[in-house]
Amino acid sequence: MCQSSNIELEGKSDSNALLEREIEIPAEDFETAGEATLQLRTLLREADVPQVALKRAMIACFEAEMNVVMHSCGGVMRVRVYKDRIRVEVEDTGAGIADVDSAMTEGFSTASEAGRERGFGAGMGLPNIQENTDRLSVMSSPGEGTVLWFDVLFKTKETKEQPEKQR
Amino acid sequence: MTTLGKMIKELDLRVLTDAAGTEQEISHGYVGDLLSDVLGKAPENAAWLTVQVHKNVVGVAAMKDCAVVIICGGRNVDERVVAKARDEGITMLTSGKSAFDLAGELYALGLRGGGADGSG
Repeated sequence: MCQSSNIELEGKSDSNALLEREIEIPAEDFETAGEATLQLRTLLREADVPQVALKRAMIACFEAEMNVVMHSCGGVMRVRVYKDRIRVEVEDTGAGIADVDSAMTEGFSTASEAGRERGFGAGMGLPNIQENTDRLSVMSSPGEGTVLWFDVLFKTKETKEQPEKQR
Repeated sequence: MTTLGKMIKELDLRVLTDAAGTEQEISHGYVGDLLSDVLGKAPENAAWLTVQVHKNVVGVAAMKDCAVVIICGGRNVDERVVAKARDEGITMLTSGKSAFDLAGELYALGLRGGGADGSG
């Protein structure tokens, strides 16, 4: 399955981005799953990204990363920070999603037993991503892979009404 | 609302990571073993009760800014997971009691569920 990919994973740089980072996500490695998102979180915290937007983006990134770990042959997460938003693109190779509309529905799951045992794969991943983003696109070719991108805007109503709680 | 220190003392919790910040106030709690549910629904600054003991727990706790993670039911936690929690600044506690009993005791200490709907 993993040798049949036709999707190119070459990074596309954008000179308008204030910050750009690309991190590889290995497949089926639950031990390191989440590391890409944790790295990004550290980077974006240092980059003075608005807190509420950062938290929403990181939840979406974590779910997207887990999806790559559970469902693909590996992929890449590309993050760009613009003055008004965070853009995240996640590309993977592998099985893809046969029915994107169904996959967006809470409860729909095709996860492996390994993923389920760890508390993922209950059909909540993509709905969680949708809930925490302002624009979302999922494109998939069964047998080739999935390209997902989302934007989290800095000036949403939620950003203004939910100030950061200090720990 | 209670403090981390009082929570540890009253519930007789064992501290796996560093017990720094015992004066930290904790207002909410959440019980969940389904990590996507916790990611989607747990309130911030929560004491998260779970029986999951793998490394992804640390990632979820970090994403949700959990105040503490309480591993319930006497589950053993691998030292690599504890080390990861230390690295990420997550306070990890453990107890032999069930999540049900611990949640009841935390409620009696003043913690509430809160969550996505804003209740509690």
